Amino acid sequence: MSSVKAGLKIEVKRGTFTFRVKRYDPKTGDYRWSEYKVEVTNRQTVLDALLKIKSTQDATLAVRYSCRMGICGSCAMVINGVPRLACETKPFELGTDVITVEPLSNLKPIKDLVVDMDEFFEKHKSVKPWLIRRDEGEQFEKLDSYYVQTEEQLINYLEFAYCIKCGACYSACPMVFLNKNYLGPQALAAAYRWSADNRDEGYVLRLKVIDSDNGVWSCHYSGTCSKVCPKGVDPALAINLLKKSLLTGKPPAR
Amino acid sequence: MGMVAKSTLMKWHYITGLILVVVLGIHLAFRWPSYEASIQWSGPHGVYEQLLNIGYMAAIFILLYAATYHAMNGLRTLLLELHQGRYWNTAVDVVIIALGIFIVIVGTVALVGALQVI
Repeated sequence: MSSVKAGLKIEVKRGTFTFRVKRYDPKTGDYRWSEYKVEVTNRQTVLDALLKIKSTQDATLAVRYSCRMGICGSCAMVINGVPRLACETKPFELGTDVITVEPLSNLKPIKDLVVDMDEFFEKHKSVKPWLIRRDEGEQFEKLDSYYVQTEEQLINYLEFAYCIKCGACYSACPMVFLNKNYLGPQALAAAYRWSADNRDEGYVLRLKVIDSDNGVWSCHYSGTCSKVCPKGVDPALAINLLKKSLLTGKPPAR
Repeated sequence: MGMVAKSTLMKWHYITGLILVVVLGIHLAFRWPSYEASIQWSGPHGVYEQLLNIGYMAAIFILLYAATYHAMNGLRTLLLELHQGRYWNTAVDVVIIALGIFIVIVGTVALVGALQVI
């Protein structure tokens, strides 16, 4: 089938996929697998398929989503064994007829594919991911001035500012699996993002958290975090840049 | 070892690792040209001659301290990564510090004792 729009031809293919969904039941505390056959087009995503299942086959299936366009990070889940955004993953591009969908690992499940992100956000918060200035009066009261930043200074941390906090990196990290107290790649990348911002003066305040057994030193550089990030952020790089800063005693390049 | 920043421990881990390359190199160089001769008490290149060499003995002392730190910190890191809880972490720190001090004392006594023989 094809449709013509503004003189361009859009190829629309249809296919039926089997979705194997790992579902968590909060009443029993157990997981079970449910299978659904769904017809989708090559333009549709795994999230579209899950919502189709929810509206036509099984209304009890719990899925978290919001923007549907890879911005909010709500629909991260493990698809065919890899943490991805359901709204950015197309069944046709996965190359398998059977698609497994599981909740994010390393996080407590709430129901079916929905996980509790509290622990993840607590760790994120622990690195003080905001602009810290020595003079708070100047920062919050003298609103007539602003902090200048050159394009070069912006580039120092820009890549890390693209994080949407979906939890894919956290879910993929083998060290988070081993050590529940490890901050994880997202929080550490956020610590780097703010410490590398020339307007920020809070690097020293973040040291207590990042320079600890559960901070950057727990990272073994497996690199899975960077591999799965749907926004192209490289948390492993951020962690290694933080290690470099700690070893040289110099704050990140600003 | 909460009172010491982890980066300080790791910095010394890397520094002692580099030191070990040098002092172990010196230690191995003194087995040259004959290993058999180098472990004899007397004779050319023997132990007695090595003890008289201030530079070599300094390297051996440094080897003892650097190897002890490097080994103890490495062992601590490995044991902590078993993640057995807070009490485990405290026990690991106590055992590692005690073992490190013991090794340093025994090693120093042995080396100083050897120097006193000459």
